[in-house]
Amino acid sequence: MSDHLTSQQISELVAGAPGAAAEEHVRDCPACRSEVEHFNGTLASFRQSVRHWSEEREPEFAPLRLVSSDRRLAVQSWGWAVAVAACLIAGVELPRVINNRPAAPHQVAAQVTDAQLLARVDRELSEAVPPSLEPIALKNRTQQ
Amino acid sequence: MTVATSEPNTLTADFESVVITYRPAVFRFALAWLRDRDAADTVAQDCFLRAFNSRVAFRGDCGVKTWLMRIAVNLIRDRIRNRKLQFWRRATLEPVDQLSQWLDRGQQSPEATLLCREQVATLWAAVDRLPEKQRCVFLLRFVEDMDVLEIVTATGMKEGTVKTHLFRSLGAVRKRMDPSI
Repeated sequence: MSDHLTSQQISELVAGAPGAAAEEHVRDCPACRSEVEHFNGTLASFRQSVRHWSEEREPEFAPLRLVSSDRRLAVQSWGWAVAVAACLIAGVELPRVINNRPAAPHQVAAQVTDAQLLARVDRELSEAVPPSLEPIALKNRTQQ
Repeated sequence: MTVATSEPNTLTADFESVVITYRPAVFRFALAWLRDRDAADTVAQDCFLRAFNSRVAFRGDCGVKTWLMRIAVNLIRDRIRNRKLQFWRRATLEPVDQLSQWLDRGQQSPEATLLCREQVATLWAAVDRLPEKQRCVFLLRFVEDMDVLEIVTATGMKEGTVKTHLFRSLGAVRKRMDPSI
């Protein structure tokens, strides 16, 4: 069995709640005293690093804003609601606007060609003379 | 004006002094626990808002700092719970391995400074792995210099529980720093 302090006893000493025996031992044992002092030193350095870090990171003091983060969250939620509504409106309105736009020139040309074709078909279909009487009709037209 | 501890009238009379005096401690504690500057700022802000709203109920049974720390501990626990639920949100945490750079070792040799920084970095890594309650108790004891009874009030735990968490956290940290233990 070791004569030195246990890990639990060292923790108690560092935490500031040592037993009487541990306190007495650390006074007499250089190895345990060194161990405790080293650990206390590291903890002091840790505390110092946190304080410097915090001082560097702390925002400028401003008068207390009496708005809780819950309230800020509510405002944020409203922002999201407005953004979603804007997207919905854009989704509905945009196709309508696109459909109402004037047709492009190549679309116009295609429409004209289609119209001419349909007119020719209409004309051919609406011929008054059946194909069998076509020679007589032609003769009449030349006499006139 | 200095803020006397355990003085309820001071809270109602001059709350701004309370904020100026204790805001650095609340922010520091929240920053050390959360490692997120914005979150720590929000916690500090909400802590003083809650304190302001319930300042009349403060009877002076404990110190003002202990009372504020109790509010901060509850806010941080809520925040951690929400952070777990909001798994898709990424917090901007300060990397643990860079926290030892804040150590000011102007009086020491470069070798000693380097060694000290390594030890503090290892300690930070160990603290980062501590369970929530142990980390809370550890930070209150070794960053805010609060004694066990103050930690009991700030956390709402029993004295024996606080001591157990304190000893376990120290044991875990020492083991991390010296694996041969």
